[in-house]
Amino acid sequence: MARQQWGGKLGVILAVAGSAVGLGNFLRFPGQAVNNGGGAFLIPYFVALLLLGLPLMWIEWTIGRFGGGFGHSTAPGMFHTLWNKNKFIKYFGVIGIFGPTVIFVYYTYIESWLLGYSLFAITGKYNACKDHQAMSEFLNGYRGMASNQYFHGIGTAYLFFLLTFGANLWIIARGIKGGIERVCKIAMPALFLMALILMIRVFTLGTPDPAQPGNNVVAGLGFLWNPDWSKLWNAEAWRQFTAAPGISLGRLSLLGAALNGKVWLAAAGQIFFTLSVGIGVILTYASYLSRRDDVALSGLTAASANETAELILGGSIVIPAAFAFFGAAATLQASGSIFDLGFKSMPLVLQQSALGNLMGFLWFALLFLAGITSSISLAQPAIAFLEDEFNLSRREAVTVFGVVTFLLCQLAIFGLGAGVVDELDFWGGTFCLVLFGAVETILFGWVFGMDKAWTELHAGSDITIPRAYRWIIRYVTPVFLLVILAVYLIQDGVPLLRMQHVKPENTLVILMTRVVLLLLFSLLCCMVWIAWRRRSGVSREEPRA
Amino acid sequence: MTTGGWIFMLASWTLILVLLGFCLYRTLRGPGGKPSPGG
Repeated sequence: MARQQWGGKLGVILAVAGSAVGLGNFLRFPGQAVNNGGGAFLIPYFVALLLLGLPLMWIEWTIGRFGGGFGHSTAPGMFHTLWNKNKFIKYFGVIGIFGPTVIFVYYTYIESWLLGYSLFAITGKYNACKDHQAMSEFLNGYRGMASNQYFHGIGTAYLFFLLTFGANLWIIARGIKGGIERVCKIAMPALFLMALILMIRVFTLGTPDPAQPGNNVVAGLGFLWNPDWSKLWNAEAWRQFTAAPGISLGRLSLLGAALNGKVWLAAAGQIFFTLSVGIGVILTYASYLSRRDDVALSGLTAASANETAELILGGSIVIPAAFAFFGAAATLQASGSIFDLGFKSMPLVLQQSALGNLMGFLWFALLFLAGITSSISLAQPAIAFLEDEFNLSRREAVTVFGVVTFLLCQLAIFGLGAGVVDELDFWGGTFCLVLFGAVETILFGWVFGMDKAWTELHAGSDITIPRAYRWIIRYVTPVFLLVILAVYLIQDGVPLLRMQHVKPENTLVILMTRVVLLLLFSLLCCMVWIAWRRRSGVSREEPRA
Repeated sequence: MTTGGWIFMLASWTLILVLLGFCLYRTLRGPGGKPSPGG
């Protein structure tokens, strides 16, 4: 079966940027910045971009193109190609199919809310909601978590879910060039245009309430960008660190407190999630390139497009608008939750401005486009795995993927109130990402070897990457990732495993979710085992021309 | 907004726009923006 390919260089860059630009750019980043030092947050943010984000981008583009040369589009085959003496490494690659599939399951449901809210905005369905409380009731009613004057049951939400799920499958079924690339080439420019219109609308809000002159857009920008150095530097902890003798864990924790390690970790986490690295999607997208195609410049271009959406557009819409209408205290409170900012604060703000319904529609349509360009990318690794390793046609692979994920989506839809989405988000969207990133970085810099890796990265390259990155990729990036992994496991993983935040009545549902996830992971491992058994005796580990 | 806030905002915007401009210029200036056949 002929392998698929991209139609143009810009198409693959827009597809990777589309995968990276998502809800996090417009909702998570501004919240993180406000809570971690404003402008000062940009220092650890750019350090993490240089030491973690860009190296991982280059690593994934390079491994993807390299693996694609051997006919593999997913991590099990690629990892096996990088370290073919190790017969277990391909099972680590399963994370690169399992992670995006799990994220797809809950992400598609949240994406469907955006489609629903786009329609509600243009028809003025939520215009009767005049405060956060009313918007909360509207959202809870929509999601079927409460029966109220707005909704009776989950029927409307389920209908929008079916439409969104169907749209995703329809695009994916049309293939790389005819589906994913074509959609991203239209959706990405449209997304940037919509964000620009909203940014101009927010910048012209001025002082909405003359009785409160302090609540204005410029002050809102200051709320996000004014540097708070105390978040980066604790002088008292530094004094204690310098006064303490020798090397000990206590002294190290003092150093962590002096440099405020939590802010650095928040910045590293934001960079990691915003660039869509560690998921396995970039590996699959890059596998459809040939060795003569550039990956160094393409990776940098996709990253810079994502950063433009995040720093310029993402930082200029939600927080300044919310601040101008609600003031510092309410904005700070909402900034901790992407749902509060996106589904409660923004609709309230936009319905009070001129052309409110249209602006509300633009806001949710923008987020929907950001969502769908990400969700189609999340489906591609599993579908490519079925195509490559089991010789399924595109249509058959999409059907199998559709049936399995549709069933799994029911867990996210009907278990939302019980915390199923949080559970899926931790395993698929947090833990697996960081673990996968660490494995591929070590494989690339240490097992494959830095000399070969550097040559492979620069094959067909349109730019030369500074040589310092040889050292950064080999030493700094893996250490950075292992520290993040350890902190996530201790801070979030242990309490989550012990179900400390789960209500007793939800324990069974969460346990069931874990069993389902374990079964899915085991099934994928079995499929890898079967695929490799089928090919035993047939050497496929030869590069294509 | 303080002077520091303006500096951080404008400096980061400039940095990102220069980087994006450079990348797009080099990408679009390349050989027809087409990946090689058989990729």
